[in-house]
This record gives sequence, C-alpha cells and structure tokens, in this order.
Amino acid sequence: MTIAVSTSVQVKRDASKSYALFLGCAIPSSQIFVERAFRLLAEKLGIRVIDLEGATCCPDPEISKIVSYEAWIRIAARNLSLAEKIRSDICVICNGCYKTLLEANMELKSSPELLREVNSSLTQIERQYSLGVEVSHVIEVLHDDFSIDDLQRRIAKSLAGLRVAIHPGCRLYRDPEKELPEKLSRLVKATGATVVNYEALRLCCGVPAMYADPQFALEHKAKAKIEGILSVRPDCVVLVCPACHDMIEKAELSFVKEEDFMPVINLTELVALGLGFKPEEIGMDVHRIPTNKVIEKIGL
Amino acid sequence: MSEEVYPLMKPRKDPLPSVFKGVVRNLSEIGHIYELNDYMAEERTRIGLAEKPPTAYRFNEALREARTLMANTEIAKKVNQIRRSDGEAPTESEIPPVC
Repeated sequence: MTIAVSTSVQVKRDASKSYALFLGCAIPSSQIFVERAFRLLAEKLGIRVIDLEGATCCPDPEISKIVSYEAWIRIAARNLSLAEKIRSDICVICNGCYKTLLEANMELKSSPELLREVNSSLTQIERQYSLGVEVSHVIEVLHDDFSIDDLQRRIAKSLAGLRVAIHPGCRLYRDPEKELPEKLSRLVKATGATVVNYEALRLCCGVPAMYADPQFALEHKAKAKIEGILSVRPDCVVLVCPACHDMIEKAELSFVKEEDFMPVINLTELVALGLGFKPEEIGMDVHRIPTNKVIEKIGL
Repeated sequence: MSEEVYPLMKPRKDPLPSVFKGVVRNLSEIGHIYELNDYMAEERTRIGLAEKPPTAYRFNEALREARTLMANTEIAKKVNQIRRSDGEAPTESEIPPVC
C-alpha cells in the first residue's frame, strides 16, 4: 500500500503490517546490542513487531544443512509455521537466518512433494506449514517499507562527518535484483554518515573457511578484509551479519594494534543512534571492540 | 596406544570434523547454536532486554519439538556418536562463528 503524505514524498509503509521478529542464535546470546537497537528503532518508527515465541535456531545454512538436509528443512519449516500461526511475515536481523529461512521457504514453495513430506513430520508436533509467510531482511523492512526520504526526516541526531565502510557480507549478494548491498549503503547515508569505498568490498570475511581451516580463514581472508577496510581509514565498519561481525572483530584482535582498533557497528545500532537513542540505551558498551571512537566522533 | 598394540587397526574416525561438532550438538541439546551464558543473561537485563529471549532459550517445549523433528535424522545419529566419543559438551571456543 502506498500512502501519499505530500506532493514530493511517498511513504510506502502499510501501517497494519506486522512482523514476527526472528532473533536467531548469535544476536540474543552475544550481540545483544543488535536486538536492543532493533527493538528501539522499531518502536520509534512504528514498525509492529511480534516476538516469534518458541523459535529455535533457523538452523544455520551451512553446517546443519550439510549434516542433515532433512533436519534442516523440517526445523526451518517449523520456524516458518510459527509465524504463519500468528499471521505475520518474518523480519530477520541476521544474514544467516535470512539465507536459511528464505531458501527453505523457496524450496518448500517449489516442491509440493517436499512440502508434503515436511508437513508429515510437522504433524508429529501438531504443526503445519501452508506457505503463507514471506521472509524479509531488516534492510528491506527499513528501506522498502519506509522510504529513504521518510527515514531521513526522522533522523534526530545527524551522523554527518562519520566515515563508514560498509561490509554487506556474501549473502546479501545472493540475489542481485534485490539490491541489498545498495540499500544498505543508502540506509547508512540516510543517517547523514558518509560511505567510503574500498577495493575489498566484496571480499568474504572468511567465516565459511573457518569450517575447513581456521588459521587460513583468519590469516588469509579476515586479515585481508580488515587491511582493505583500514586502508581507507574509516571511523567504523557497518554490517548486518553477526558472523561477519565476530570474524572482523577476531581479525582486529589478532592483527591490529589496540590504539588502531576500528569499531564494528551493526546497521540497527547506526540507525538507532540516528533516531536519537543514546549508546548506553543500545548497550554499545557490550562490544568486544570499544565503540568510543564512533560515539566521540558523532558528539555523544 | 591402540595403534601400537593393533598396528593394522583402522584409525578411529571422528563422527564429524571438530568445528562441526559443537554446532550439531548444541542444536540438538539447546535448540540454538550458541549457549546463552549467565553473564550475557545479566547483560541482557542491564540493557533493557528480557533475561532470556522468547525462543528455545526460554521455552522447553520449543526444544522438545525441534528434537522430535531431528529424531531419526543424520543429526541425531551424529550427536549420539559425538556423545559416545567426546563425553562432555563443547566449550564456547570450539564453536566457530556461525550465523
């Protein structure tokens, strides 16, 4: 639904739409500032969020899927069925959960036989999934449900002067038509911050290589990534993936001098700061790499 | 030891690569890949979140349902093999960053 609010600005948001919030594993157990920031910004922007009670791991799109596709698709379908039961689409704040839930949903939609098999398993726990759920990334919720103009108007604390290197993460490039990396960049700019370009933008942080060779992943992937980012001297890196977040922090802790540490910030935190929330309300002191440099730069 | 006594014995093969074990075991035992430890539960309340999120971290029924779905799959078999070969639950450092 498109609501015209002025002659020049279109707000695309459907006020009656609600999202079931899918938290995943890493965010509620270690990157708790992301959950807090999202809840704060959703309330401020009027995004109706319902907790997806009883959700489990998505499950993860690599290890669990490799070990048992059967278990992976069943558990993903159960998570989708929870949202269907409360008649909500899902909002995902983790790139890995996005991949699993999006792919599982697509696979179930494209194969009636698979859907029948999965529903046969779900019967054991008295659940069913009828393909009635769409899965949205937080980037899509912020960018597509609102408009950049609308978001810009709501920025209470401009982050002008903050130089940001974005790291979309590999999964956001999966479907070029969705333009998720471009939307991430536009959302960062909407806060007033400047996006600085660097050559290693598309370079993987190294997480998938961790499953085969942790030393290679850290020394040949994560290190190259962090060197690429640091070469343009940003104030921080902004991303939306908890695994990339963890890996980039690991690389900094391994290869960068403490005085040169660069904060790693989630998009939700950046937007929450722009909406006027204080770092202590978001829980930004929980980060492993201190975020003081960003907080000082934006004058908070 | 067994290789010295039985030089022709086939070496014991782990049920899964070491970095996979913690992920698979935690998925089966807590319904999530990462444990929510007491420190983070306290930090959650300090920053204004519920002590436990409304997921399998809080609801045993969710874990029971996930375990039912995992029964008779390769994950259940691997977890049983891991329990037999390793005994103790994985430590945090044994689990790679996964999302």
